[in-house]
Amino acid sequence: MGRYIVRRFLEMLLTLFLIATATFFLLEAVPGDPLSQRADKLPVQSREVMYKRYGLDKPVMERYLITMKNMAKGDFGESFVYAGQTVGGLIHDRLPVSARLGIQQMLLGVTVGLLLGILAAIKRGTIADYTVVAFSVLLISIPHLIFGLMLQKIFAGNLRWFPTIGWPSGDELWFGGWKYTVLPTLTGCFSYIATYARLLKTSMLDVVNQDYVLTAESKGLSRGRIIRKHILRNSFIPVMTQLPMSVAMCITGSFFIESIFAIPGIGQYYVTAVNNQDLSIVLGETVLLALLYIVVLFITDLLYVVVDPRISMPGRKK
Amino acid sequence: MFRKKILALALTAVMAVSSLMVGSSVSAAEGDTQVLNLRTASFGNNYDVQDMGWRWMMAACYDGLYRNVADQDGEHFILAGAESVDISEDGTVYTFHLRQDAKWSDGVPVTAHDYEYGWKRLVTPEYGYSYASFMFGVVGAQECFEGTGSVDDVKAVALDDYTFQVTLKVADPTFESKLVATPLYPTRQDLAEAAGDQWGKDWTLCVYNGPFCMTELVEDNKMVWTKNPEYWDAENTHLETINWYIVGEDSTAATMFDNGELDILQTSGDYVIKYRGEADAGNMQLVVSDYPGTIGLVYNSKEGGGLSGLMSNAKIRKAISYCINREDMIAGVYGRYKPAYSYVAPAITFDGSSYRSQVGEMMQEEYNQYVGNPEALQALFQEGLDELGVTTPMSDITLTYLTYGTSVEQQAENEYLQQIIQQMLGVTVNLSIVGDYALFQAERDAGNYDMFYSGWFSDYNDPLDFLYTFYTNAYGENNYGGYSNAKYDELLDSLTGETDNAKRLEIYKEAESILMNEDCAFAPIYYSTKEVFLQNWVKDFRTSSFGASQEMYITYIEGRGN
Repeated sequence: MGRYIVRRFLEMLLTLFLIATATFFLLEAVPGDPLSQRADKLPVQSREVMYKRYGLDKPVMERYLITMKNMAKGDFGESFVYAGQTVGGLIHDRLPVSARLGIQQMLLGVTVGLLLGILAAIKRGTIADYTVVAFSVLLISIPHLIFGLMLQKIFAGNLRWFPTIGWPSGDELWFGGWKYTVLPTLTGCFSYIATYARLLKTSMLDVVNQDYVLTAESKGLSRGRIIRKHILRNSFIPVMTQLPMSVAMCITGSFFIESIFAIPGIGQYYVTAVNNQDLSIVLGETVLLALLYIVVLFITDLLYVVVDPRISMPGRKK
Repeated sequence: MFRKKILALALTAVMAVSSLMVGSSVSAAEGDTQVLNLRTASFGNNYDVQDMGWRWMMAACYDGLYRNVADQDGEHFILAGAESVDISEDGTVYTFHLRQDAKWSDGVPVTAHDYEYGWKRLVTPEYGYSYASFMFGVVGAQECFEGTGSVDDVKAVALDDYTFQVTLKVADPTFESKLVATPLYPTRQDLAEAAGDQWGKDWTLCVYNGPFCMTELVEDNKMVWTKNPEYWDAENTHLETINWYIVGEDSTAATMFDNGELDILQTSGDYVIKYRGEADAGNMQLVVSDYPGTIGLVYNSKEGGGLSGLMSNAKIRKAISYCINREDMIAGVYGRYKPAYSYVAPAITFDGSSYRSQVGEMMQEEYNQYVGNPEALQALFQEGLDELGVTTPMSDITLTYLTYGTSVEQQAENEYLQQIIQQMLGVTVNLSIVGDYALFQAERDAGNYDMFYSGWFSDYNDPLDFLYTFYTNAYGENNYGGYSNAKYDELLDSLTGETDNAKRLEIYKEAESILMNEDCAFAPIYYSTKEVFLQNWVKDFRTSSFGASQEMYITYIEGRGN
């Protein structure tokens, strides 16, 4: 186990290095640079001074080495486009906002989704099943943007139950200011509901037809016990595979939601940074998200063993 | 057009009546809080006046020697930080006597040393300020910025605490119009140096000498300004709080405006049409003003004449330009703006009145002979082909229009231009649409085009700022199609040191005529305007075009009821 974790850790460092390198050179390969639009309509004399100031007058390899050296020290540098913004500040100010939004969406969405999935599976072929399926298809087909604007128009505009835009800050960053979070959370949770309801239903239907369920039934076990002990647990593998994806995506996946509700999160900023070729921020966020993803994947690997003891830990002696 | 005039008249009438009812003094009704809520798509995250950060904030939170206002007299400046100014006989030495009651928000007086520091900072090369060229007329400034001179030799100096003196290389009548621009605002040396490279980035390190102070910022969400009690004209500043919200979507902004969560709205597309109707019905106010920008087609003027090889001929350029029915295009594509028949925008004033009204629209007469007349246009194009010795029939000619962006408006723009040119001339127009500005720039710099859509938004109120863009390589060799005309350059050069306004006007006129009538280096399409919708309870909100883009400090709220 210890050796496995060390190996995974080293692999992680290598992966992050490769991702950072690839990101750097991909951004370099795109025509233009973070200053090109800003500098385009400047008098010629001012342009050179500006490029010098941001260190963009140096050759690519030299800048690559400088960037990597600083990155090893945890310094991704400052945004080229938004003066004064750094990746450190981003993690400090914006990550919690996106994290809370993502967590709320997931908690609500995954819970409701799983419950609906169970309902659809055990009430297979009934009105309840069809309703859940139809509902899921509908929810997954409507883009976030439309949902958000619709909810905003109805609940903030016409009914005035909730504020139109905004997000709790300060002391209420993690807890409190709920009225601001209701609409964005709802907007985002629909896709989780749809995804997980369908996923769990399909997976449960697979399991229901397995021999061991028949055995359990013939043993005379109660229906509730069969569902809990035999069906649910075995249907959870696909859900466990999907979850880390959702966790990693929940931070960046709320781009539209953040934009509609003016939520100062990381997702919106990431997209803007990519559009602006804001090298330091893109690099920092990419590495951060990659790190998050790798860690979540690692935890999932460990969890697989918990859910299904038949899956063995790599490196363990058989 | 007619409808617009009626609207303008009606609005003027409404304003006149309401101002009569209000009277001259501000008497806020019971229950009105002096809070103004506005929307923007992004904050300029830059609080450095020398860097001309977010203009709205610069205007509201800082103060310079002069302040630009737009009122019934048009765009003009008034004294702000300066109480009086002496100009030497030869026009090269400006001595500003500063008001002694001006203070920074921390209570420290604003002195001539702050101006000296701000100005010298602007041309210090290590900061690389993009607006350094605003000061190049000052003795020693350009040399300092380019690293050949010392900052000590820059002749912008504090003679004492309240006297600031600037010496120009030669007399320059455009100099004063630059003084409303924020790069020439004062900066506190003690604070800027203590902040180091965080200056202008970390707003908590800022002090303000304008009507408002920034007091809260949540990035990508909200910015709050509150009245600056230390401002020298605080007595006439009515608003207590200004809230800015980041609202990306127009539909969200519309919801908020309808709810009264926003007091002022700038929007686009269908919402403009909706709110114009509301304004017509008296449910809100609409303020339309000229904005100093001109947009149109830039031709590839480089040797070789672009991808088609035809762009070197003035008749061909004219034929393309005159295909485009300006009125139709702006009505169909934008639903706002004004048709343009010259380069310098009508918002620009010269010698106290609109430059445009003094010299008229340059290409309109010739344009009227051709517009909507395919035979005449094709004949003109053919003449151009003959001059070039090209025998290809017009139906086999392909012109390449380079563009980028995917907004609905941009698509409509591209399609309109393609259709109308094809229809009128019988040539093929190939749309070369690239993904973003950087790609556009790459294609443009490689010369892979015949024409592209571009223009200029002026930084200071003088025709020269527009005209200088077509001076050989003034803004790089590609921005304006690589246009170069020795006679044009000579004319602009002859302005140096010229102080006689009548002569300047003649030179401007001649230069612009070369650009428009002789060379047709640019096909102007529209003059920009600004449309702002206000709730009926917002009073005295003005928009202006230079330095301060909004003058909120005389605005007040009356009749909102909360």
